[in-house]
Amino acid sequence: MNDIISVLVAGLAQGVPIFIVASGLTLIYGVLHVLNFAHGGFFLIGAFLVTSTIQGGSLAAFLGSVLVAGAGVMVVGVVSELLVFRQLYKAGSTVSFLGAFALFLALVGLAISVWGTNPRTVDYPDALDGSFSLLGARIGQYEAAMIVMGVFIAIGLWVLLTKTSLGTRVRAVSHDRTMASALGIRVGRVSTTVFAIGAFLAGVAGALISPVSSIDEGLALSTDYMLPAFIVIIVGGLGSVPGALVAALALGIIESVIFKVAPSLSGFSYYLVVALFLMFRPQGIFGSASRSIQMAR
Amino acid sequence: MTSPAQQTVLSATGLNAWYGAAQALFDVDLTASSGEIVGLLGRNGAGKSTTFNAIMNLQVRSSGDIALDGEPVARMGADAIARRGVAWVPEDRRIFTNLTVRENLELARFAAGDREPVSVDDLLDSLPLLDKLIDRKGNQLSGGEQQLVAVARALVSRPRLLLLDEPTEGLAPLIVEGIAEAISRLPAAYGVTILLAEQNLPFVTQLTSRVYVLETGRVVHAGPTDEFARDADLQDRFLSISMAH
Repeated sequence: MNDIISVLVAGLAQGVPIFIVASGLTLIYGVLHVLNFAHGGFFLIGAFLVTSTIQGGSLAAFLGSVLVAGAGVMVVGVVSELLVFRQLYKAGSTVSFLGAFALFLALVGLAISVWGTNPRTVDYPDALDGSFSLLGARIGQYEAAMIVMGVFIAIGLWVLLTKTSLGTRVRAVSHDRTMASALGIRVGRVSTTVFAIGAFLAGVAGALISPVSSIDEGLALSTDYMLPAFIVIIVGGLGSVPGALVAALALGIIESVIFKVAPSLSGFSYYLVVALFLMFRPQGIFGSASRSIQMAR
Repeated sequence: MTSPAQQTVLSATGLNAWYGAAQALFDVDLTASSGEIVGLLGRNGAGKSTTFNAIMNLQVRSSGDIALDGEPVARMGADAIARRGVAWVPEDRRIFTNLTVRENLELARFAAGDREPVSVDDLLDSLPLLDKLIDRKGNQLSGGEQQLVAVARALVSRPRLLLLDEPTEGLAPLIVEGIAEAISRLPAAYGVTILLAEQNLPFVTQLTSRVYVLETGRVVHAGPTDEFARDADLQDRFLSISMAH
């Protein structure tokens, strides 16, 4: 029982940052139909920003740094959207992908020039630097906090997309940009806003993993976070936020179980699962033939 | 017919349009005055939908002058044209199938610009058939229901000009009758001018006072609807369509 709970919590804690990154990726894909390879750069800059902005070990200081990192990356995202992606939307998916990859390299280069190549670390916030017992299992406080944070972000995204005027516009633009425009919606503004939200989420995710991961340029394409995030949006269904949530948490738990029972196979589960999906359900769990933002099956 | 007291709502002059390198409209001139329902007739591919695309500045490259109540709108984006009072109901309706009917209707408030939008409750009063659809997703509607929602959505913004593209396409005759009746009431109820693209001549005859006939992107006839409806030769030349709708 102890082991089951430990594995479950570890899996969820691993899945949460992947979900946060993947939710931004899938939102951007759903609205802009661009697979934003530069997202890894946003994630990396978010993590680095925490190392520069955190003051002291209090929880408030840490959360403040997380928000500053998210906001900073959001600014980078908006500038990227206006200067780079606006030129790429009409150029087709191949050019868009290559453009996003070029931006990714530029962002990694920017991060190296600002923060260097030496790995950096961030301490746990004092209030979360410990563990507690849950049904006999020892659970890290930071892991538990990460799961709670994931729940808040998932609820926040659900509210944003289904209960607000912006969310309705986002779903409309993702479904049919032309008709949305003919209904007076400023499609460009909606696109920029979605890009800003996606970048903010990537920055927050990078900031949240800073106490549990060494921070260097390798994070931008890490096999722990970024590659799984791309896999998650495929498995969950491109454009599906609930799909990203389910896939990220399920894959986190699967990976955690495999790490427990067959550590040598750890890391393969993501690739095995995505291969199975591509063979038998290429549209993903909640995906449809349409590429629009889905908030329900 | 346009009386001298009627104000010109739409004036398109020398309208040309291209899909890539292929020219689809050639020097099209059109006008529509306040409260009018004007027909735009022609065979498939004659340029009816392209005319609407050019007016909305959507999906085609175009040139020429377009004025709405005298204000030039030709070089504006589609969203700005919509906010100035042009509503478009495309042939395929383009309902947002991932949204509920209520969300589809509420979205159109963004096209109201400075005008007071029609509330969803008021729409339900004037189009009671919408009531049972209001919480359904767009992908749960029949073709006729989608058409009703598309027209209702266009009215939310209190448009000055409504571009209706083949509203009877693919609908059963009984539903077509209901749609004709609903469209006939729109100018008086909402103060809207309508440009109606159709191939269904009886439908156009029932609703419009004037028609333009398009062939291969050119206006080949313009005049009173009843005159065109009586002239079998003109119909044979430019439409060759069944009268059996």
